[in-house]
Amino acid sequence: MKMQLTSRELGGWTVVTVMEDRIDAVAAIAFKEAIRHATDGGTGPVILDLGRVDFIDSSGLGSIVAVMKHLGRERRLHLADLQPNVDRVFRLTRMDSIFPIHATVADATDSSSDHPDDR
Amino acid sequence: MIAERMRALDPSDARPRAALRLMFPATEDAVRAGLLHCRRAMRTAGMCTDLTGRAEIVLAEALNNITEHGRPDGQTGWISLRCDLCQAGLRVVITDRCRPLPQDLLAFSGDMRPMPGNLDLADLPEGGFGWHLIRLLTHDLACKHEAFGNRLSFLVPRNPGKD
Repeated sequence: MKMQLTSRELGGWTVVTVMEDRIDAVAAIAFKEAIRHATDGGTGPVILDLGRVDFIDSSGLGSIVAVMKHLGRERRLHLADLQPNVDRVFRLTRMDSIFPIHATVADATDSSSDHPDDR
Repeated sequence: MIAERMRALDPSDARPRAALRLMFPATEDAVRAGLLHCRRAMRTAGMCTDLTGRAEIVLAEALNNITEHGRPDGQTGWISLRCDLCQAGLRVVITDRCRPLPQDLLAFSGDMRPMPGNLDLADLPEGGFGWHLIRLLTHDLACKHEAFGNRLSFLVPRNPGKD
């Protein structure tokens, strides 16, 4: 199982875009490994762009929590562009209170208090 | 590896409007293929996006749980899935020949509490979400361990009023 991600630097942020439409039990381990690889060696907060993801299950949610723990407080993990059924899983598990969630990647980089230039 | 039979839409509310039967091995890959198949069938049957989305979450959690439990003899088990679209929503029956599901999973433990803002990162849960999602998104949840294996049944309501 390969998990396709793209990663880019944007004004001090690392923006990771998931290029798959599911983060599920099949993909969860590969997702964790791919995102660690994509963020290793960088600095500053990370935005996970989930705009292409239309389904996530509890394994996928657990893997995103694991990534957040791995990145730690110094590199806070933000989420952007949650599709309706992905947003639902975050809301129902109360994980929407753990992650800063933004409508778009641009919203995150423009408005967040984690902006690297503000620190 | 998916055996399937789909009945045509039935205009009568007395009978299911559409029914789906699937059988597949209790593996993560087969569950994913089964879920994608269900999603297409639910859309074809005219289910709204909201109900289809809730049903996909519940089916994924229930089916993945079975693949994790596995069979006592270590063999790959088979899962039988039956979905009936009716007036009240989507009625689902899942049978398998895997280990008994723990009954305490079915007890409703209330809403998941909001996480405290000062919670240590290390204390964040990475699991335990699955049955919580199933309980929140279903009515009439029941699980019996019968001679042949587990029989899990529930309704994904058309108008949940709690989501």
